[in-house]
Amino acid sequence: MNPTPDGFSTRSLGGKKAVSRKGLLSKKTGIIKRPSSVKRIKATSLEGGKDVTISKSFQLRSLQRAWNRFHAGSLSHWTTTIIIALSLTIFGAFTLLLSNANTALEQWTGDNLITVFLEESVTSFQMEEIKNKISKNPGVDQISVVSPAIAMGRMKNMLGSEAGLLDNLVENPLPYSIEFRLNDKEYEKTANLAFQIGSWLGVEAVSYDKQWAEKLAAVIHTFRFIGSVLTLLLLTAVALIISNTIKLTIIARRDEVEVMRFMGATDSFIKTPFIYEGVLQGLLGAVGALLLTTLLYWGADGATTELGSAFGIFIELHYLHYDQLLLIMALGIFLGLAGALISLSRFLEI
Amino acid sequence: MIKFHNVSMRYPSGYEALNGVSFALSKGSFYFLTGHSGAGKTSILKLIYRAERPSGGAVLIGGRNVDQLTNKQLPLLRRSIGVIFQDYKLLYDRSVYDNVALAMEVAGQNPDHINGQVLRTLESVGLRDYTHQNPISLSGGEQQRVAIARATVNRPSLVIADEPTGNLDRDMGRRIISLFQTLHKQGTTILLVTHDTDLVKESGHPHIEMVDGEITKMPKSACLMEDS
Repeated sequence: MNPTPDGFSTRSLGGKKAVSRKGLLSKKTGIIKRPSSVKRIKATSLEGGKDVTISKSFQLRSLQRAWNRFHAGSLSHWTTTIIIALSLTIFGAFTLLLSNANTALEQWTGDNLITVFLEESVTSFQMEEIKNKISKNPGVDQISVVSPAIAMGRMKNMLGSEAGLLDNLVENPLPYSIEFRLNDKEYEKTANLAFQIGSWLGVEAVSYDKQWAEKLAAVIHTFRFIGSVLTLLLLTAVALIISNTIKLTIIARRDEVEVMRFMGATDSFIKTPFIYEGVLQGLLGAVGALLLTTLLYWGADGATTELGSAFGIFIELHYLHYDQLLLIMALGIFLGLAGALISLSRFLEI
Repeated sequence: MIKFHNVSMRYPSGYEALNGVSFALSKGSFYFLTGHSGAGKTSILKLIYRAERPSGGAVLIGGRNVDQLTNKQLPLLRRSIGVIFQDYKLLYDRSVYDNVALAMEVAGQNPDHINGQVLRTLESVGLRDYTHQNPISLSGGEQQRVAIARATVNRPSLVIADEPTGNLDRDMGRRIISLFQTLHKQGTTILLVTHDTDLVKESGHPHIEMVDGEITKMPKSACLMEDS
């Protein structure tokens, strides 16, 4: 290397010996072109106006910088991540609760005894016809006709020592009824069949444990509605919080953004690291939410098992399904992305 | 390469920075832009890389009206210009190497090509041993050289610098000018803004003088011809 008066290296600036600038100025576009010796990932031209391809290395470096900021312990980033985690935990807890309540309703394991009360005017022939019609339904089992005398006997058994009260009755007021069990324990199917039978000629009323099932269904429905509204509000708030955090990051890094702009960075080049930050916050928040939801599940499962054993019944809660876990992860990522995009569209003018 | 056609520029505050400025710099030339503070020198540079837009007239770079470039075309223009800011605008959250490499990443250069080119450029400005240092730990002259390395690593055809010797002592100022002369010898068009008239005289390169947003003196070679 030859010494020079400036005291620096004689290697030409830009790293290579001087090259002819002939042809660097495009006659067509009038824009100065770089020498062909400088390799590019993708050629861009003013005519095409194509966005420059962002190199894989840049993507990794952007991701690494976003992670480094977390690692450095930026308070606003961690606060936002915790808020995302807590909000998604509330969502996860609701999902867990409703999912288990739904399962309980669907797997409702009462005797599933259905009693069809017949009208007084029903003849033996009609009674047999109704019984046959019921038998044709899938899952119908142990079908039998209960005479008024049998029904009265059962009532006396139920009343026990008070059964003597019934002795004064002049005639048995109880009607003929048909009893059967339905093997399919799904609440919806039981309710549908009962409704259907209730409309038949000669049928006075149909009874099944519908009050309990319908009340549970109503509670689940209400919880689902409240949960949906609450989740929507929470997630909107979270998206705005992420947006605010990204806004603060943009302000803190405006020098970097300005320098990149003047160096010729494209829109996507500048925005990508911010988007990664938002997504990373959402992803970490979702992972935190899954951990918290799992802890919550363990706690609730232990408590309900104890409660069940006190009443002599076995209760086991099930954990979130894979699709529900994926939904929480996807929600976290979506929130991070949405927050970043809101902020970028409002506060980053390229 | 650079043509200003009767360019005026007014800032949103109403301050008129330029008033009917016209000049033309040919490819491969080396010019100084001189004048007192507030004369409009920096505004001219800002119009070249379109940090600002003219309120009248036209700025042409390589025959293309800069003001008419679309948002997608603008990055391509900026990548063909090496800009050196008066306050360096180095990023102090990363190393010297990363500062210079960023310019290549921004330009979408091949990642395999970046490392070698950055090291060669840092070597050319005498900073090969400072690769992993944070620029904040460097002297003003060294920071200026990092800024020059960053502006030239993509080997732009045009380099513009705003007071590149403004914060340096006379000796370091000369060494920095020498770097620009090396670039010029390689065929790069150079436009330097300075208020140091002694440095201009010493370098022997022509200069355009400005007062209150107007050009008061310039060599014939920089005059805009009627038909151009």
